[in-house]
Amino acid sequence: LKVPDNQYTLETFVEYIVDNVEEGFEERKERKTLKAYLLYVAKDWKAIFSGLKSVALGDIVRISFNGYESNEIDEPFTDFYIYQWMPGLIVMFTSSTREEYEKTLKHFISHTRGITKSWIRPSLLDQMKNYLIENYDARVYRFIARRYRYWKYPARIRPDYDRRLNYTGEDANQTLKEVQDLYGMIPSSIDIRTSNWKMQINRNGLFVIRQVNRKTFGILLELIERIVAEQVRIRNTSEKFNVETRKISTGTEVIRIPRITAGKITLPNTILNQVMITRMFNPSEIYDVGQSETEDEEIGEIEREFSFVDTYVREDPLVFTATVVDEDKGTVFGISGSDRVVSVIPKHRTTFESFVRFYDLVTLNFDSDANLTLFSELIA
Amino acid sequence: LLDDTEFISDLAFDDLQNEYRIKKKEILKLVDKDFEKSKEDRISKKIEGIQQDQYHRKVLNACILPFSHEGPLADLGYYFYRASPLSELDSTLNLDFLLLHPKPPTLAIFGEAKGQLNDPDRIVDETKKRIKVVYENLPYLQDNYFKFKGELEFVIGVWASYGNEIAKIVERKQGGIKVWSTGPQLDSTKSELYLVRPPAGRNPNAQTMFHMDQLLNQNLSAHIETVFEYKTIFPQSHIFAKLSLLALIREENDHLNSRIFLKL
Repeated sequence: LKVPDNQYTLETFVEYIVDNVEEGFEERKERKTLKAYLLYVAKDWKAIFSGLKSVALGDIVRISFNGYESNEIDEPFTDFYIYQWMPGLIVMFTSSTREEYEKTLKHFISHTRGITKSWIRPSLLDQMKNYLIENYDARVYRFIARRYRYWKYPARIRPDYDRRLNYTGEDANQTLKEVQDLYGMIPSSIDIRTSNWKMQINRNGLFVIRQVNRKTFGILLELIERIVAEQVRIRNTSEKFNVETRKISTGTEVIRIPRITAGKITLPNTILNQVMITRMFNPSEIYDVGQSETEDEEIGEIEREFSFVDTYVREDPLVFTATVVDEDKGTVFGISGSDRVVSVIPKHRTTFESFVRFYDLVTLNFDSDANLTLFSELIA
Repeated sequence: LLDDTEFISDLAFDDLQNEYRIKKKEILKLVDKDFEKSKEDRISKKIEGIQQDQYHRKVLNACILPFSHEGPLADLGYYFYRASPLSELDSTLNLDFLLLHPKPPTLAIFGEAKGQLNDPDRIVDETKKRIKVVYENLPYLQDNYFKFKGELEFVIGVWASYGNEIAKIVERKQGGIKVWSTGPQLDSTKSELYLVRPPAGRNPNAQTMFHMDQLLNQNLSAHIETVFEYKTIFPQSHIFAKLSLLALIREENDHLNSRIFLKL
């Protein structure tokens, strides 16, 4: 994606792109595809990208991974354009291919503290899909769905199998509902089209527009607007979890006391049991479903980034505890739970995205309607 | 120490060397056999030690967490101050936690957490000895912790199933200690901490088993939500628990190294 240096607002940036599709996507001869990654970032997100080449273009910031890690990637080299939607939530626009993305941004996200994908929980993704179907007379024509045997998402047929389905068909929406119900699969990617445009929405916060014009760009921004409130709430709650030493005055002197802000995930639809927790602590090897090289699935494997140590599980009634290590981001936190509540206790080197990711793990594994709150917050 | 091959060549004579080799083999075999025999025992002892430490930490964490975050007990002005108070004095008789109400009426609550109760009578007696050590070290406490003039209270925190048993023993042994209990509740989805009410009766010791602060009694009787995981290790944690933290630090360093490597 090439946008000339200028001072842009989001509106003028979009204007330029839709008016100059040929120039903007010059390097992509065949497919002029726009991608938008919705990402959670630390509030001072510009510092996260400080090691990369960046150019401020008004409200838009262009960053280039040129010279980052390796120069193996052949030209054309694609840039990413950042717009801060609200504090802590950015959108990165690009026309990069999957290969380029994996070598640059994906790697950057999984190894940098203070940035993570904005995972969309299954029920919200479903709402987005239905919104497009109802308001734009759109049809689902393709989807990729997955199931891992350790998920407790209900499945009527062989729940204990890992599976992945890439389905294309006129009846894709019905099929998606059927595989959700029968096979307990969750879509990671949904392709939607009308007679004029095609769009893809992904559980990892990636949006793909296949025909770039004013209409489709408008729909993209509308979709993002519809989910940001919920997304940013999860991010902001996660950011509050921390440990600190506070000074308090006793009247005659100042003493230092340890303080903690812990979190709580409450499960409205699921009663946890020993088997479920033991599986979370000791994940089995995932069956390699042999994804084809040519398939354009951005979400890829769901990474196993948490290690559970010093674990304890007992039943009747259920009690479990563990120390959890986020292997990618370095955060160490504790969990302690009963059959309906998983408390999250920050310990060392905490960064909000570890809790975002752990919450996502709980929504997938146990209850897609799980609530994330502060520990001291009362749940109605 | 002499190197083995050097030692053998020093023996010089063939028969001596052979005899040495044979004897050495026999002794090593014997050591191996002894080790194999006691291996199971050693392992189960270690595991038992680790489990005991886990139980102990759970109860201890449950006792201190409600005093470490914004919640009803912080609203009452109570704070968790530190774990293992006075452990630096090299006395084996220190307690597990210290809570503080710094504003008047000032109050310090020392507590002992017990994961398992093999001999409840001994636990109460031992806690009384530990209480004595606290009183003996009051000047040190005031010099090194905080300038404290106020009341002291003492608590034994136990797992839910032992609450009533330990409360009976405390009452029989002149009271003076409050009993807190924790664990998952059968009628609730939460993990809770609460004050065990002494057995109903006319025993005057029973009154000494309530806190002076009626609001604290009320809050702790209403069951306070807590968790069993907070601090990973304490000064007196099992060596394995401490080693696990070392592993984390090591991992953290590896992590940094790999990141630095990537940037190069």
